[in-house]
Amino acid sequence: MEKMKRAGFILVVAFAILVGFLAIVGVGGPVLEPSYLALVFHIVFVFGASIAIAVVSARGYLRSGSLNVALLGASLLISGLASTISIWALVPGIWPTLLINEAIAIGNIGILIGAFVQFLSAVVTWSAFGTTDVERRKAILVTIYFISLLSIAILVNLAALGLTPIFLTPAGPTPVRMVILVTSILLTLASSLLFDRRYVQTRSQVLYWYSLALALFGISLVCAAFTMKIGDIMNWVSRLALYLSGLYFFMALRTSEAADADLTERWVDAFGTDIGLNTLFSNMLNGVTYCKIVTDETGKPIDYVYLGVNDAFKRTNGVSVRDIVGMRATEVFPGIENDPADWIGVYGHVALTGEPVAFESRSKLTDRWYSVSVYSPRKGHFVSISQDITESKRAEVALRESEERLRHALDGAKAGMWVQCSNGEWFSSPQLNTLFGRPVDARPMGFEDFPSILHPEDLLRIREAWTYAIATSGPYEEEYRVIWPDGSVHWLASKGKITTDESSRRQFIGITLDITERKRAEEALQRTNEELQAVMDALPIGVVITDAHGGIVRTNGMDEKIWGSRPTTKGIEDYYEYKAWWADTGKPLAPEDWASAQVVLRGETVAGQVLEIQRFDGSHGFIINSAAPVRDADGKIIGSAVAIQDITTLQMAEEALREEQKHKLEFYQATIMAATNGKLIITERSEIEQIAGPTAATWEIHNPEDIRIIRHGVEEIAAVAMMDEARIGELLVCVGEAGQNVVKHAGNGKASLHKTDDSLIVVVSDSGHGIPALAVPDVALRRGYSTVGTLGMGYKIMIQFADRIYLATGPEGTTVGLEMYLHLAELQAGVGLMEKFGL
Amino acid sequence: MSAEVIQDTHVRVHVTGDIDLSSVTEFYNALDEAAERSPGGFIIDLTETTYIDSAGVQAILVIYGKMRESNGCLIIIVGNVRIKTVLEVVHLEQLPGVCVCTTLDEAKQALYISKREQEGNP
Repeated sequence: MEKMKRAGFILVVAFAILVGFLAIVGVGGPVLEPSYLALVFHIVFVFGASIAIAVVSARGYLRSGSLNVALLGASLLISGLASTISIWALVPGIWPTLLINEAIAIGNIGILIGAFVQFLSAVVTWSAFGTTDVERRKAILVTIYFISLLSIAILVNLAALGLTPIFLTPAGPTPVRMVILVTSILLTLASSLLFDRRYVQTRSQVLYWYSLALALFGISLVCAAFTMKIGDIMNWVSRLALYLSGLYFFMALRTSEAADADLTERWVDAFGTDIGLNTLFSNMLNGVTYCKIVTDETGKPIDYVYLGVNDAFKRTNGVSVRDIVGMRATEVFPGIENDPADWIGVYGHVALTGEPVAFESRSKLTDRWYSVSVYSPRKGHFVSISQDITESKRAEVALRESEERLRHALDGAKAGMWVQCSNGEWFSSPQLNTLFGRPVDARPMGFEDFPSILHPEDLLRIREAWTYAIATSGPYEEEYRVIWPDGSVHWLASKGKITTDESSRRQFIGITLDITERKRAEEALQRTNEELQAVMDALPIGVVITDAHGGIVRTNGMDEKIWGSRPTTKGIEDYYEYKAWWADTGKPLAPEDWASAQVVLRGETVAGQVLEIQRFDGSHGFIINSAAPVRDADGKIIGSAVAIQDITTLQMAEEALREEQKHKLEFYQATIMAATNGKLIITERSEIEQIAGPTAATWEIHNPEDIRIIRHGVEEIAAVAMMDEARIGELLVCVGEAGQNVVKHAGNGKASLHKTDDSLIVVVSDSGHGIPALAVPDVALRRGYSTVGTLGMGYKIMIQFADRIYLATGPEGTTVGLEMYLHLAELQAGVGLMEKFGL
Repeated sequence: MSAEVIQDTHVRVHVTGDIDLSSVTEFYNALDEAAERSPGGFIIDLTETTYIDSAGVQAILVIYGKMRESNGCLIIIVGNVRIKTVLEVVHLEQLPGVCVCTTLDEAKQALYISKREQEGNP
């Protein structure tokens, strides 16, 4: 078949090339016009084909109501008759009243009318004039064919009366003929192209041969335009093309008969103008198809042919082919025969049995769901009305999955859902039962059940909240207790809100959760907090807890006593409200200097800030401020814990004590000085060093031997200084006693010799614990008093012999300055020697 | 320093050199030995002693305490003024049973008198 189609197409092209060649070369050639030859050919190839197609078209129209089919038949009828009459008239002697010119006029004008009707049939859909009434169709058909025949009769009579224009002169065709021929050519070729386009869409064999037939018809007309004389070469080429087109028309008829559908339906298919579908269902949202089932030899449905579809069908099935009428289902949906939905089987059953069905099925090919109703208007045919329900199916699946997830979520969260409609109807999920200590499969909880289940102390509150929420359409959010059948008390939390459904009905929708564990944890946390607060309040020091920003989150009672009422402190930036000074320097404390600030800013633990503070009542006090970081499980600092010790009383007592000791010391100093006749002066180490002047010699003291060495050293220098020998001996006794004290009380020390203008000063010092200030009088004056339990007589001896003793003692050690005047007379004489020694 | 215990008609501790913290132990041991030999009293001869400090004085006072338990006496011979002054600073010479002399003869006499007094006043 394919080879035949290809051969048919090649022949048409060959004709076109031949005509083009002849037109260009302009070959007139010899004239060949035997009597009756052309007439016989015309009757066979042109008239026969015209009549056959007219008949087929008439049947097709009566069955389908497609006006296009009727017009197509009429077109060929007109063309065929006019052409045949024209040839007939050209046979010499048959019709002597008609001249050649009139014969050609009949042929050309008839062809023009036929081409015009043909074009109308190809380009316009005449469904607006369609009807389902068969009698009326017959009337219309008769009318159309009658008009066609009438137009030919009129044309012939006009020609016979000589009223037609001149078409051919001995010089050749007239412009009138050329205009008519060219118009006919254009209309015919345009029709050919339109049918060819329909063929591309539908792959209908009928349309293939029909469009080629029209093309040949057009070529024939082109040849006619170039025909100079009746019977010349171009005239015969024209005639051959015309006869060949007749053959192609027959081919189209033969192809139809070979197809599964009968010619009429294929004919209708080709034009897609099934009157019922197009007029009634074109605007429907549902897809509508009218099809004929194709069966195999055993009568089993194997395919179906679309006889009519509406746009919705193509849209919902994603059919890109503009017109699928006339196509088989397996052509439109390759693989449909294997679709699990078994469309062909189901439709075939309906078409063959006449039993209508309605079903929902998913097409594997389009991956969409359809709701389909199928019925059979006549045996072997079916009408399918389908609706794409993919979205609703997906929504249904999504809803089912959502409900499943919700159920799992509710189970997992120990939650129940409930809905109260505006008409008082109450619905609840099974999980709600478990929240009230009932079996999950028990009767769903009813609204009326709540008063007996709610804890009496919560009943009134919950009822009021419920009523209020409904009255105001506001949110409902309550926590309450319920008493289970076993008597145990459980905490529940309900949240709900008023919503409006699609029908504008109000409904109260909510969810209830079991929060017993959370409540118990909260209670435990509260107890812990209270215990912590109690412990903090019992502490004798102020305690402050800050957050990570230094904001104060908790204090205790002692802190309130220390500071008074603290202002709101959200962070370190608020610390400027706290007035404090370093106790030792008196410098004010900056916000970032506070222990808690250092903790949260740098993570440092700060201990023992001694501060003077100004309380919020304006009074002053002293505190020791310490802070350490508070960390979370990951070690991150989440705040600080501050300990504040109020040392105001202690500080004042120490201050008073220091003052008292100072007074006592001053008293003792005066007393000692008086008692020793000005010999023993209690002073400071620095003052002794200042009095002593330049150093002449220094010694280390570690053991008793060192003391002897010092004594000898001092003796030599004193002798050089011309000190009186007796006084040297006394000085050495004093040096020995001072050195002995170093060894006994401190273990180590040092000694140095200094020279003033009129005396030698030996300074002996150690780093021992010193003599307690208040013990100095006893040490210095009381015989036998010793701080280490030995007989204390060293100072007595030193006071006895030295001219002046400077004593500086304290926790940092003891320094004794022993001053011995040089003999006055020899002092003056010894100045030179002293200078010699560099003293 | 050297401290020698001499016994003839009486017991005498003869000290030469400095009595200070470094030598006080030796000095004390000699005194203790003399006290053992003659609980009724002995002579401390400091005529050749060049220096004594409170440690030495303390040693004498400790031995003095022991001697007083047996009502004994201590006779101290001092040739150096400075040493004498040191002993006077602590009023050693004023203690009962203590006699500070300047010569050995004075010392022997004082020791004899003291012992006689002890015998007459047991």
